[in-house]
Amino acid sequence: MGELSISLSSEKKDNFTPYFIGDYLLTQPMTSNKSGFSKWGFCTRGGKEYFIKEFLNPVYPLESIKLEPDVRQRKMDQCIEWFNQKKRIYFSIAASQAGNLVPPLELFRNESHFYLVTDKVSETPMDTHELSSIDMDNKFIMMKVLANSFSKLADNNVVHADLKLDNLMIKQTNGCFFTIKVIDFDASYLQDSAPVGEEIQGDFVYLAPETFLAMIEEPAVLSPKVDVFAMGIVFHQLLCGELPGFDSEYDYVYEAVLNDAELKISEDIPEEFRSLIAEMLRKEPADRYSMRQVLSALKGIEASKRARGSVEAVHASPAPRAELGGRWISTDDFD
Amino acid sequence: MWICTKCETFNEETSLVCCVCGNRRENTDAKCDTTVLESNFKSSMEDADPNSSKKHDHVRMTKPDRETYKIKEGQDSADIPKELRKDTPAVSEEAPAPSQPPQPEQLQKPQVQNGDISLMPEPQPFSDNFENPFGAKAPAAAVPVQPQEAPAAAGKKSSGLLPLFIIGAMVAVAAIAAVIILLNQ
Repeated sequence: MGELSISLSSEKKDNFTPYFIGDYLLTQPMTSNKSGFSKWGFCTRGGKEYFIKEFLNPVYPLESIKLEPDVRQRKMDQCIEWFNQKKRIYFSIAASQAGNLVPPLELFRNESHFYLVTDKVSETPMDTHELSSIDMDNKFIMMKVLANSFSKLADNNVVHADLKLDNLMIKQTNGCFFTIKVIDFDASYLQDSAPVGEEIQGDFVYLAPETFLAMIEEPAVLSPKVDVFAMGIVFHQLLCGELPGFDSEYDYVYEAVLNDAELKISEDIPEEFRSLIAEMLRKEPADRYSMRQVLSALKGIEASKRARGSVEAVHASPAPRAELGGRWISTDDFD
Repeated sequence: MWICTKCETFNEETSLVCCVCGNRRENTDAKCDTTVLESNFKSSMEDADPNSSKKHDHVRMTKPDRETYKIKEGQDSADIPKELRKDTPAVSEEAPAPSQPPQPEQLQKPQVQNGDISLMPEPQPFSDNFENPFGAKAPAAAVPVQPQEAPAAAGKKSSGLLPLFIIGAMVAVAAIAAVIILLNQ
């Protein structure tokens, strides 16, 4: 989003006069860039910066607008239903916070529109290529951060439903490490109230096979496994900078998977991660790893790396104490 | 709870290393209280503030009808656009012409058109805000204007023969005195 804000023309900024939305002072014009059903921008309150989103739908029927009573009532009911649904999801997301979700802080109505406010993340913008060129230790931490965050969401039956690189913000932390912040819960739902048909949102590039089946109203169970499938694709991109390969007759990963076509996981990816991604991209949700299993698998890979590293260190250094200044390579050296 | 400085994951108070990245806890690690996270989320279906936002912006950004605009009680007059203040004339967008100091002859010799006193311009008093081109503030009473003198001067004709009359009178007195002296001799 850093890039998006830069792309706003200076002319627009010059002509923009900050104004209040509720208690928040909008400091830049809102944009609908990369945002399907909303506009977003940045605002301040009490000297702190926030991200603000204006939902284009539903629109609250103000008293000042002339409407037939039944139309007004229908619009009002729609708003109340939407609002209560969002409120329920947002409370569950807030309860899932493990440090790297960017949860909603406030949902409110101002005049005819609804607004969502979250913290503003100090992002380090990166494209896929730059992301894949981060060193392996840092990538590994980012993958564990993701698995941990989504495990907490899954524990609370929250399905993000729009996991993709665009909704992951890379943040540089103290000591030049990178972590990942998860944003945009617009498409999210609770497992017990999963949407059907046209209500379903998502990006086709990261779409799980069962989500597509639900879209065309065929029998399908939507669960946090939807996010596991998307995360498998994200891991592939993170590790080699590309999407998994599939036959050119398909446009998307889910199409190939639904047709039992072979997925080609890049050989540039270390073997232990390739097998993990294969487990995450399984067609049947029941056969697919859960988020907890993904997190466990990552910890298992880390443990085996440490063990292997220790063994390699032993084999590679017949007289280590003298050469390494009396210091063994410990498991902490992988941190 | 504490936040790992490396990956920003929340960790249990009892753990000494981060559960995600294995980073050792440092004394500088920020503490966090996750118990307030849930209650931090606020939601409201009520209008946030119907008197602010776009309505306020509307007042500020557009030019309301001058005839219908009314100053609300307690409203700061500084917030009211100049063109809407009823005690001042409408302000043009163009910069006002710099004020020029009036010339003394303009003030002392009001022009009478067609001899009609009613057409004379009203005399303008000086303002304290007047600044002369030399930078010194002109005193308010620097050039007193006495409009009441103008009508008195306006009704009289010019008296240019008076000195001749006086001189003539003096010459006549002197001549008479000379004649009287000669007759006495």
